Amino acid sequence: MEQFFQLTLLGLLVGMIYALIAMGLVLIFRCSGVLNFAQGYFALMGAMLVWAFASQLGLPVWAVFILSLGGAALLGLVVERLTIRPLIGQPVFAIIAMTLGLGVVLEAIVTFVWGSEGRGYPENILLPTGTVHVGDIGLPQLQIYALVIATAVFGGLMFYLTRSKSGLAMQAIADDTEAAESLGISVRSILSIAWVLSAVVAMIGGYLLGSIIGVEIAGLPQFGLKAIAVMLIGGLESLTGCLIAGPFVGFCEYMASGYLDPLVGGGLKDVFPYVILIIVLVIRPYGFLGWKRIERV
Amino acid sequence: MGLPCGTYNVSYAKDMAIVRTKTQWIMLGVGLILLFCLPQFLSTAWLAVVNLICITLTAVFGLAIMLGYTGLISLGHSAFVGVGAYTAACIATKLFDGAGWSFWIAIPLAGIVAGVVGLAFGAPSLRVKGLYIALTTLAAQFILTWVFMHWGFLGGVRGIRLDPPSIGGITLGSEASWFYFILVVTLVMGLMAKNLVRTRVGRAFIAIRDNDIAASGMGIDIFRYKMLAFFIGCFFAGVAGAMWGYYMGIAHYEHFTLMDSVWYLGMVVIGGMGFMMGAVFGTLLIRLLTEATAILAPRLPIVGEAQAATLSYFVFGLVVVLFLILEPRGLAHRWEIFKASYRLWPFSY
Repeated sequence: MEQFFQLTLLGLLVGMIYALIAMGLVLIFRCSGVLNFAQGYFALMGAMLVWAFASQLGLPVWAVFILSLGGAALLGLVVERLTIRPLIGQPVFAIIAMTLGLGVVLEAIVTFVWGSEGRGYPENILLPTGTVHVGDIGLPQLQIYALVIATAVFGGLMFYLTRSKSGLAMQAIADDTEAAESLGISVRSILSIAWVLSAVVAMIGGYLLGSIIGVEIAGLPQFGLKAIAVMLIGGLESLTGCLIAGPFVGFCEYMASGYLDPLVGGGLKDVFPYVILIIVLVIRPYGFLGWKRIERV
Repeated sequence: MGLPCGTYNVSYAKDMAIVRTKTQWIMLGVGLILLFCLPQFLSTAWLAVVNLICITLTAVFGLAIMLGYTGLISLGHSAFVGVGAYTAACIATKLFDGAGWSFWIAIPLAGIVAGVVGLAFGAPSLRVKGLYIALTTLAAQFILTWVFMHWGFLGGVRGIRLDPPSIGGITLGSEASWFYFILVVTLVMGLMAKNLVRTRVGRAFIAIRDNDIAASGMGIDIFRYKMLAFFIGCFFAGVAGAMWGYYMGIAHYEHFTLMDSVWYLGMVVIGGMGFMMGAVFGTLLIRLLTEATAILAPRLPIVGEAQAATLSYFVFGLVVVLFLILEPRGLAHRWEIFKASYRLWPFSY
């Protein structure tokens, strides 16, 4: 029973990070129908920036976070402007291929500049690593922070989307691009904002992951792909869907790795989100909360 | 699709012929002779590169049919290549216990098994329009790699070792003997692909890619043809995988990663959608660029030992990104332009 609770909590908390990264994906998908396969590399880049500012340059904590957030925003802006905007109007596969190519380039850049070995954050910017005991169950403090941050980001994004002018414009574009354009909304600038926000959210996710598993070139980008699975399971257009699907997928993943792994020889954690993805696609292709705009042939 | 000056379609057979003029026949003949003489000119190391290019090309033909002609994006192509490799390995070592003739069954069967596995993954998402097929094939990539790794029958982390096959008493041991075999298979598969897309089926694929509503209005059963395209694409992947398994002497999951799938995809994109020549150009360009970076990297002053390996990835990614921005129609489009202007020269139109 204790294992069950432990796995549940771990799963839910890792799931919150999936949800966080997936939210960035949803933002972009809603306004442009683009699925960003490079999101994991954005997270990697963000995690690496934090490490570089903190460890290599030895900056104080506040400067590290301001600079990293700025760096991530700049990355989103540059990527959108240079690689995504020229492809507006191209077929879907071109943009998928573009984001995949982008991922390869970003990974190569990170390897070039910082080398490929995994590394951990220095003490001063690491989230506290102690354990809080609730009854018999030990809760890693680190992951409680992850939960709080993910929820805060979700709240912030929701607030932005429903209360600010550009957030509402983003909703309008998601609903009907041409109608929004004819009402004087600049689709281009909103798209830029979406990419910037997405890169910033990915950076935060990358930082959390970096605190938990270390900044790893081999491991981190995988989370971006799992976040794509989470996004589909939650419904491609729904932020709330991410928040439900993320913990759901994390929970299933850890349950599978805890109870099914001994039966089948291990490694289920890496594939289980994709198994759920296929099941969801068969039963409910618009996911938990997605728009029912599915067209069948 | 301009024809050379003074060439007209006067009969149906002529209209359908791939090789039209005497010059083309001569170029084809000389080209084939040169191709078959390659082992005379190339060192063993370069011959290995050519072999790899040919195997890759077979897989890329499959992806070109799926992506370039039918518009189905597959992010799991290398996993299907892997299915082919593992199938061939199982047939050769487990089913027939290394019998010499098992080779002949293994290669087509590897294609069929890969096709069926592909369909199992493709079926749920091919009914739904949009980018769902990309997500299912992504899932297929991870799930299949996991199966390769954890299903004890497939040898687990060690993979399955394969003995080199022998054809009519000649054991395929040296690079040169492999070259002839792989070249013949690749040429046959290429011709099949080229002809397939000119038939009724191929035209149906193109119609679905261009406008699926119009296609279904013309009486094309979209779901059936999408499944067919997926099966054929995976069949090519499986055949390529079987060759890969035999050639490498091992079927191992590390050869069939997501990164490899992205590379196949990049080759199709760079080559250009909807042209079989595009697959050839894309594969050649990427593979040769990789070789070039491998040779050049150690000589560049700024690049360290560890970074040299990354350089080929960087170059690949950059080439894909630049092609998508600057020439989204790919190298094949440039080739068509070149052919048209070359045929008109020295006249301006």
